[in-house]
Amino acid sequence: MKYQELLKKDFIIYDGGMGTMLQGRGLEMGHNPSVLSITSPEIITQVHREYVEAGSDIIFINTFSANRYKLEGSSYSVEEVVRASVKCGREAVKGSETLIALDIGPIGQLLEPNGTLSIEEAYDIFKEIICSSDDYDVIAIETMTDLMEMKTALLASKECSDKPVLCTMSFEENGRTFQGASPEAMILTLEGLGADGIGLNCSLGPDEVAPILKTICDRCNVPVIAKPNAGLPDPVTNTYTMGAEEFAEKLSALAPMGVKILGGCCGTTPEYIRLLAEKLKDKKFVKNQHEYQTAVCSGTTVVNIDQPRIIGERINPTGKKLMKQALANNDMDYILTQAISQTDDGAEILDINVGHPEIDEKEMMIKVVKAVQGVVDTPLQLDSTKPDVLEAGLRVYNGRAIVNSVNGEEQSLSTILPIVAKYGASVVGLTLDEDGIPESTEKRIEIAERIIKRATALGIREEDIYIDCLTLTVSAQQSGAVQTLEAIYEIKKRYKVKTVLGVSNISFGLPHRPLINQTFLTMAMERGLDLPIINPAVFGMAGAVRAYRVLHGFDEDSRDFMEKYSDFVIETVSDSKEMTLEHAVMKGLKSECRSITEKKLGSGENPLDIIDNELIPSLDKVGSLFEAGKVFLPGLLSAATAAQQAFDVIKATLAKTNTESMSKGKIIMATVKGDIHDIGKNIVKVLLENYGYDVIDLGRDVEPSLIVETAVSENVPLIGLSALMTTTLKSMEETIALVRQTPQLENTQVMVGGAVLTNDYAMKIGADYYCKTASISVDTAKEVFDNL
Amino acid sequence: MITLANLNREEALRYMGVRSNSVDEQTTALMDKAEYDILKLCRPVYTFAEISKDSPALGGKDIMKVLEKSEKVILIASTLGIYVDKLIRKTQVTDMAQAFVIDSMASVAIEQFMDKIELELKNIYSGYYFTRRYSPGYGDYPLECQQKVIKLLNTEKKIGLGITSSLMMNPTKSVTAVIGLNKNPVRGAGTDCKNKCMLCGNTDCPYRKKEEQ
Repeated sequence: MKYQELLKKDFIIYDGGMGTMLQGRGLEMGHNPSVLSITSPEIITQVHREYVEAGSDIIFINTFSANRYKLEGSSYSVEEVVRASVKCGREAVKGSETLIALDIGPIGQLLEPNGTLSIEEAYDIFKEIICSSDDYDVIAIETMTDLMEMKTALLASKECSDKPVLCTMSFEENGRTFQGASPEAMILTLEGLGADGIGLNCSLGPDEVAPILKTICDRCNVPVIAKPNAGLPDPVTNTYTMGAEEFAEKLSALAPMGVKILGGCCGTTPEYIRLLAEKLKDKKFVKNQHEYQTAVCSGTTVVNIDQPRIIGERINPTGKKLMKQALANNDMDYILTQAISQTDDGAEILDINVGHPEIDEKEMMIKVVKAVQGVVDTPLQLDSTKPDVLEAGLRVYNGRAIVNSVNGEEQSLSTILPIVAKYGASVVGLTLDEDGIPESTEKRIEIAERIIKRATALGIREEDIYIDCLTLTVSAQQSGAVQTLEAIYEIKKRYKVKTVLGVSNISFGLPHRPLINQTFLTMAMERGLDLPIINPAVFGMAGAVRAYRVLHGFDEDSRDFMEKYSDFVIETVSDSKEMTLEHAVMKGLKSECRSITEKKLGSGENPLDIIDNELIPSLDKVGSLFEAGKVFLPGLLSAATAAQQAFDVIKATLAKTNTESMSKGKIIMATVKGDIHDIGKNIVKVLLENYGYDVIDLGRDVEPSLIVETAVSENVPLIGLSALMTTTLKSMEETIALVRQTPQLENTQVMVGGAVLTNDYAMKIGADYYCKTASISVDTAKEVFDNL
Repeated sequence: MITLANLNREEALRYMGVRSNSVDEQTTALMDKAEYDILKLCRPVYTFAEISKDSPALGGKDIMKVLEKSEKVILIASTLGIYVDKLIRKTQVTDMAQAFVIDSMASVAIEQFMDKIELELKNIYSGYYFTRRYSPGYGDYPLECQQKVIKLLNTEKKIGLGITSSLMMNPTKSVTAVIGLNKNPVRGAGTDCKNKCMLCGNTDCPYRKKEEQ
């Protein structure tokens, strides 16, 4: 029997718990149960056989823990365990119609950004399992809590095998997984990648999964899977309490919501499955009829495109000097600050464009996508014309992204759309082609139609195509604005697509541009614009979208509007003329620091004088108060954070004039290999930056070789290393040893710090300086750079 | 379900190295915001199991002394969940002072959560006297045992708590601990010592509490 034939049945019955059955046979907790396929194959085969006899259409072979990481320390390879497990499964289903599923469970290590396992390595781990055999009928990825891990496993399955892939994640009673994924985000992401079945397993019983399962059934467009536990476990004995009859009764009662595949997880036995199969025997499968809802998502947040949604445009170097600099200097913090401030200002999706001639765009796309999704929850729109850059970004993106963009040119259609289809993304279609941007509405509609035809032919849904009718500058071509609006209206009328538009080009060359921009945006929304790409920090732009939502009744009881604007004062004229910069720094007053500095620069003061005569002395003052025990670390850091605002203003000015640099020298900062707690390093970094040092922040869990390579290539005289725990001091020692072995770093100094370090230990492992506190590292830096 | 209502600022100030009589307005404001955000974002969950005294999850002489007269031994793991970690990560980009205060207060939050768990367990195991909580890394209880604790309690599946190969728990604001349950009140096993720092050999620790008068 093939899986496709199995689908003709009303219901497909999975098996029940394996762990439960093994524990009943005396397996100790803490051992890797997958190894039993080799050491006790008869037990495994027997358990499988009992499920086959109970009526399972698909059994899960014993490979749940058969990954490289979990098998570490056992004497068996992944391939050996997988092959032995396949053999047990094949043996058990002999003479029946039952299929066997390669069972893939979580790796057991958290993926970046929460953990240290890279997405690329996770892919390899899954690939190894999948390629260990091809004698299984389907692949079942189960019990996942991280959508990124699930996506990676699914991607590996689809790329390394042609078997159907059935995906289930484990949700808690609050309707989310431990890693924050919602059922909707799961569906959007996995459906797009071609999952053949989607649903939930483990963690809860039939009662608790009911509402979550409802959400899944109401949205999912592929067969829905339910494989819950036998109720909730008793907290003291850890045993499951729901009986087989009750389980079968309650689970089968959920089938009419639209569930196709049913089975049991922890606590269930062949008896549970036998009764379940019996109760489903006379029932008919009911397909859940629902409308398709266009949406995109991150790993945790779903944005339904059912009303105008703001796409933040700021992460794009075009016409932005500081962003260009940040990309060239690998300054992730600047990019992340832009991401965070845009979401704070109301962006619901962020456009990510990292195209810059001086850098490797592909590497940068991967880096920025990973970093941005580590700090914000908004879905991303990956913006590039290069297919390889887009694909690289999509592979590491957690959720369902938008690809920006494809256009009517053959070259674009044939290279971009296959990638969009493969990764299940949504796509922006620009209404331009080889002949440029057409003037007439009709011509734009023609191009849109071409894009829609080509995309849908590849299986991309019309609803997931977002047409951009393109904004022309109204001062150059006055009829252009109306043409764009007309095109939006017509396209929305004729197709199920959504529309997207970058708005601010409209006003080039005119005075009071915000007036034109805001008015044009409002007109466009009224004509059917769904996704304006704007700078959300501009009051009138994000404000126009919010107002539109109120007026059209999307913002119920004007709640969002009230929340945003009730206490909002436009253009606060801060009363900072009496306040000195020193006072603002010492008191940690961020916005005052900013406005005083702006005022000083406006009145022609030299930026470097402001740094040397005011900022640094103020920081020194706070520093000595800190040393004297009169100011504590929060106070010191508040001052540093406030001063940072002043520095940012100055930096922006210097970037404009492009003349002077304020760098006092380069310092590498890193939290050593194996260490993920990097707050100490970041505290030091902020202080060093305040004193004008250029900190190359290599992040946490950093390979010694990367530190050394960077120190050599950037010619860095001082390296700062941080470690939190005794277990990671080893890496600190290794890093220092590697520095000492490198002839080019003969004169490079190393300073170290961290909670468990002592001066003696620091000297023992070969450091030049031990920095007990953050402010001592500033003194150390001064000393090192003074002696150069 | 256990929830946290407010956070112990006295304790947070100790983590931050601030003398409690010198808290300024700024720090108070940072603490207000930190407390609000942490309480909003934390998803405290825990799991526990009874284990035997020869369990591989235990190690070192100190803990054996604590558990000497215990009839039962309970192993607990708890976490505030991933959202607090993400908050700390995010805040470090925009405001280091705020991030530092959140980090310290989240450490306090997880300890307070453990206190509440202990109360809940006292209900389940009524009639028993509890020893002090003891965690891998305390005294001579090897940090390496952390891995066994995580595996034995199956924390990854039960509460979403994992561990890296360098023994860092993930989410970072998480705690594992052992408690001994005794039918008779015990002396010496840490129960009569109000200041737990006095039990620890690391006399150089920056967070060490002063000896009590």
